[in-house]
Amino acid sequence: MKPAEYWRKKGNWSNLLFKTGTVVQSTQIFIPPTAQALFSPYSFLIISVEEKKMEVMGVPGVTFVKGDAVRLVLRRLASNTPSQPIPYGLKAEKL
Amino acid sequence: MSHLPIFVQGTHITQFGELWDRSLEDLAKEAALGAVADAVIQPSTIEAIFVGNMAAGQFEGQQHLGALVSSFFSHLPPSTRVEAACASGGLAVLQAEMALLSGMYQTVLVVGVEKMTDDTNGVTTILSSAADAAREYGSTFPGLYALLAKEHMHKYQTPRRALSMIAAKNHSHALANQQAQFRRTITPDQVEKSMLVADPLRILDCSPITDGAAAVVLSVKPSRKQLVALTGFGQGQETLDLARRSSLTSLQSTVDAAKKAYAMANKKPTDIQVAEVHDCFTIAELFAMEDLGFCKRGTAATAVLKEETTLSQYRQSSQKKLKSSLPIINHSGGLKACGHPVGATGVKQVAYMTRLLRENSDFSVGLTHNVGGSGATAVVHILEKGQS
Repeated sequence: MKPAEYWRKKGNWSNLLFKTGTVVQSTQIFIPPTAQALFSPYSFLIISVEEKKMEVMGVPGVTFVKGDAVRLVLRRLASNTPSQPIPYGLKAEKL
Repeated sequence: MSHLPIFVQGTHITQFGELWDRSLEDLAKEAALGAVADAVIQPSTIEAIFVGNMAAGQFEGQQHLGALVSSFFSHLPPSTRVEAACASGGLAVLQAEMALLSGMYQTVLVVGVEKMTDDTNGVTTILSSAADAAREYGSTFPGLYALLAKEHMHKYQTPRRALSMIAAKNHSHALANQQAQFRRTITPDQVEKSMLVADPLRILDCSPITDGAAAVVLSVKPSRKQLVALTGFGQGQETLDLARRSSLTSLQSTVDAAKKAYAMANKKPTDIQVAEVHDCFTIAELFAMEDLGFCKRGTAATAVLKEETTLSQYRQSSQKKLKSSLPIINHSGGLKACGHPVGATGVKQVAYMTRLLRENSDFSVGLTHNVGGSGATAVVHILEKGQS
């Protein structure tokens, strides 16, 4: 993640952090993009939060199913090189 | 302004596969010059070129493909690259049609090309750039289609077996296609035992990484060969990210593109005898069957299980004489078995359908369906033989 992209994204965290919602649909990704290889397998979800739907990664090591209650938390999203900022962002954890 | 039909004067499809001895330029050149030769016209007849390509910049470090393909011709015709992820080829054909219908040109060339196997490590990342980079962080193409598959299975109790049958069918169909990447059969059991990529999709549910190119010469003038004409086309759009869509069991872009194409050609879904649909994943073929109007919602799986879209020679013996009202789907093997060089696929579908209508007396009306991303762009074409 580029520093400028990271800077733009963090502006949205405060609006959504710790908000709760419901899993609309889920899958578990076994063949990830290179940047997410450290989490594999991980869940990728469509969730409904305050009547809006969004796509997020699930926290690693947890399997989600349709209808699960979730909360948005701040977690590492991707691997990074030593010279890059650690790419944090929103993920869903099961309640 | 000119009017439909637009004639497909010439076609060429290169070998599809892992072609380590062929460069991006080699593939594009073979397709371009092959289509001109097949049209039996002088190269100088080509007035403009449209090039479908998704990611040569990322795969090969080669941008500016319009100029690259134009340089194959000594008169350097004006050339434009068209990008719409995996629908780049279909959209390049559509843009060429618009240029012909505008009256600006009489004869144009469309080339679709992608060279993917030089960078297999980066391919998942490159293809995921067709998703919404801001809203679908961490997604993969199989992951997005897996979400669609799970919702279809949940809503319609779609059996996993139907997906496996689609993969097996398309591999059977590819046996007779000389250009196909995989000319070997697989069984539904093999599909179900293959490695998980994104639950419920397995590796044998996925189209492969492919090198390949295809080209067509389009003209408002009839061809010297048996006439095949493009009589209808349509483009549809959906939101780039899945979460903002009103339905996860349909691609509205396909519904909209098909509606326009059927209206333009004055055809109904029941008129279509053969279709090349965008089966980037097996679930995508099931969606296409319903979105193109071949089956009612939630019933495509049953038709697949009954082998209604399978060429008769590849059906189980008890189904050989089945009289189906549905079109044969993915006669070429589709993306699944013929291969999916992403920017070339839409052009290959039109080129393959043209050849099929020319050479096979069983079919006179065909449809092609090309999708970009997880359905954000869709292009549908209807082709007919014998129009003049």
